[in-house]
Amino acid sequence: MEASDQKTLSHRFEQLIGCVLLGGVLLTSVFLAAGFLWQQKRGVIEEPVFLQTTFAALWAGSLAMVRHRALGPSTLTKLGLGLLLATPYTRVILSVFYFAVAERNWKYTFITLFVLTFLTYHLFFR
Amino acid sequence: MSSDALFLLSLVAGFVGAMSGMGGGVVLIPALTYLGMPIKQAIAVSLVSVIATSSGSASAYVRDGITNLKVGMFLEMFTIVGGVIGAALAVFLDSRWLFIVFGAALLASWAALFERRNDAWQSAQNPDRFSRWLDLRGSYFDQARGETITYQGTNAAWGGILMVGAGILSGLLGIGAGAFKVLIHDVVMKLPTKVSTTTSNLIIGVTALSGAAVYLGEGLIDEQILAPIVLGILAGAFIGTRTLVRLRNRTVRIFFLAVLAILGVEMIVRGWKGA
Repeated sequence: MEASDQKTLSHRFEQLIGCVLLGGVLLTSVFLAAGFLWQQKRGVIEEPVFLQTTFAALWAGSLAMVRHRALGPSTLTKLGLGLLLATPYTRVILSVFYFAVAERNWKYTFITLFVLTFLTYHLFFR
Repeated sequence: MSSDALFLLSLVAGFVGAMSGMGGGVVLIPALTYLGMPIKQAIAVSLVSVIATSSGSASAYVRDGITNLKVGMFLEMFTIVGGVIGAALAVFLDSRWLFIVFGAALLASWAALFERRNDAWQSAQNPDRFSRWLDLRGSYFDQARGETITYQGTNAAWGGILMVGAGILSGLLGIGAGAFKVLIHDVVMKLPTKVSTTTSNLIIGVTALSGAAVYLGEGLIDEQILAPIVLGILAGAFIGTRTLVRLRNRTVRIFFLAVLAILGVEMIVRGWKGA
């Protein structure tokens, strides 16, 4: 790959990472706002509802509710939280490809893989 | 507390956090605890909102090419470890200690912001061997100065070690700890201010994610208050950032910093008295 092509590819990856971050926050806002407004319409729940789960279980539970067409304010809020947590995580995944494919920098590919592995363990298995 | 009131409170916290440059969590957590919320729950929900504000602001800087992704990824190795340690500590620590540490960290952030207000950036002349190996070079076009700024980071090992501490503070107190991260970038690693601020924004999101995973696992995130607080903080930060751009008067920023100093002292006093 020529230097100019590599620079263009790196620039495209940076654009993609920026768009993923912005898109993640906007989608999160839409889901949280929808859940919030729906809950307001239904009536306020006074008691706190604590989520005790992992990122993976949060997604699995929320998607199961969507599959069973049991969509409600709670599911929308959980999907919003899931999307918010997924946003920086997706950015790290994209960064692995940025360093491996666009930059061809193995040193930073391994550094990014370390960050990804650490986050994956804490989000999925802890 | 009603959802509408939580939304308004978070909106104000996001606004003041953006105007002062210290982030919404530093206002939100004292306010929520003052209204009776246990500090650990306030910290957990604040950390989730940190992910939102950080990702939102980082998106523009990454696309503009100002953020240094290499510096960011290298330092994230350290901040995520600190984030998990900090959150685990917060779960086990007595709440009154959290008040005291929060107040002390707030005052230290305040001092850090004041410390670097007049510093002019100078590129590192002789970067150490490890930093050269990491290739912490970069460049960006500075629109205000109308020129391309090239730089070379240094003291990467010290930067990494200190970033564990910044990560611990973030996970422990539910804040971005951006003031500390920027200070490490500026003073220790000799990065230009714009690169420091934008790269810090990127790091904050992943650091908060590592801590938030711990709070989620420990059952400290209340689903009922999540939406009004995250949306309020995001809206407040959005308005605050745009207002700040239009204001040239430094007095306004000093006023907000003074408010935060009072909050810091107040948190220490509350912790001292047994919260």
